[in-house]
Amino acid sequence: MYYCMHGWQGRVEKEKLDSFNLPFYAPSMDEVTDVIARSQAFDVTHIQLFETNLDPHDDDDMEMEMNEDAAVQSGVNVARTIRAVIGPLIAGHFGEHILDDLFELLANNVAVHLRKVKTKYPVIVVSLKARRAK
Amino acid sequence: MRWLASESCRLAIMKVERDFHMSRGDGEDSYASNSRVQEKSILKTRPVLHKAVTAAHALCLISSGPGGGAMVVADLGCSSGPNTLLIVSEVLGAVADSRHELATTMMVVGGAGQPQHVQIFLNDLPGNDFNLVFRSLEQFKTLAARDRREKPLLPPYYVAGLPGSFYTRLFPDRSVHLFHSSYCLMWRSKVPDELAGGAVLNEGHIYIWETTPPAVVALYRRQFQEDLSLFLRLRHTELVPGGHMVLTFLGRKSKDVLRGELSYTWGLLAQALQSLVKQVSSLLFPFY
Repeated sequence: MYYCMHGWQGRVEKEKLDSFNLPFYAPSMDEVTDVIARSQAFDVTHIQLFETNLDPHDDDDMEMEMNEDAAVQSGVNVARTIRAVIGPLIAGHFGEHILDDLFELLANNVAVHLRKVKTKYPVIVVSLKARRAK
Repeated sequence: MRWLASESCRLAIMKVERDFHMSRGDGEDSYASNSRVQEKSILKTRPVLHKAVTAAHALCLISSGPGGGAMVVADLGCSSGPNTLLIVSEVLGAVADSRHELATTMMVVGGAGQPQHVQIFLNDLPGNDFNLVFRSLEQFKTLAARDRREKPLLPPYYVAGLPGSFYTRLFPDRSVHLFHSSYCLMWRSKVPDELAGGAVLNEGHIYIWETTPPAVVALYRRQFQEDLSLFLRLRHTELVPGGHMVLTFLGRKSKDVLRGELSYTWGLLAQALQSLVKQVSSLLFPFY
């Protein structure tokens, strides 16, 4: 279906993809508290992990299966959210011209994924108090 | 060789600092119009933030006395859009409530003296759309004053933009009472040198994935540990002793680093990138 819409335009060289990595790391709570403890500079006054829906417009916290229309819409929402955050980084490496195609493909991939499993983002919130210098 | 290594490392950092910013403006594709995930988290972490603001306010009162030096708050990675102002509004509201509470519970004569002035620094990388933030501040001031009619008055406040990476020094020693950062600390200061320089390959993928070799995972994890400990060290120096910090960021629930929830999201993006590559191969080898 994608080919019919866009023709056979290759837009990303394999070398470009292989040299692209995200400056990103999603740590577990243990990994976070480990680094904090080793710093010896802060006391943790609060730490928790909560989950938020992959689709920002999906306010439903139930683990329900998505119908096709909802999944397609969610795919678009998720792709938009991700594009707003890393669009400039992608454009800087691959060029501005791939953005529309790439995020349309991502929207499709997300929709297919969400039909199979409702996905949530884990979010860590930590409140710290600075220790006084010894 | 050493020079080459540090040069490629410098370039990698420069790339993040230059290209890493939320999409500018307030159009359909902008961050300002697509930041609801982040907004939901701010609302969810509100009680934690309010507690920290109250504690930082009390600390400021103790160290400088009512009406003394300003309470200094910094939002690190403020971005541009409604969430930037939401944080400003949450902090100011919490200071106003805390002052009101102090005045009623402690029966301070004259209502806890002069209100504490609040200085808020909005920090992000230089590529951030600070102009959008500054333009919306005027409107915010009018709305904030109107919305607070039934509530304790907002303290006098001053907002300033502060460009720079939070993996560098941003403030003088012992000058900040409260740091806040939402949805930023999962971003590394750079792609690990060995990956950026091509010494180690993460073929076809853009983050840790089920098939990622342990050497690549170790690089990512080490970068996280170095970045976070640097961040903590810098902020500890800049905080007033006993100062507070509220940090919210994407994490991992799964114990298995190869099956983190975010790995799946970035996996879907890598898949999309791969299909853009595959079309080249199909073009080159039409007999497939």
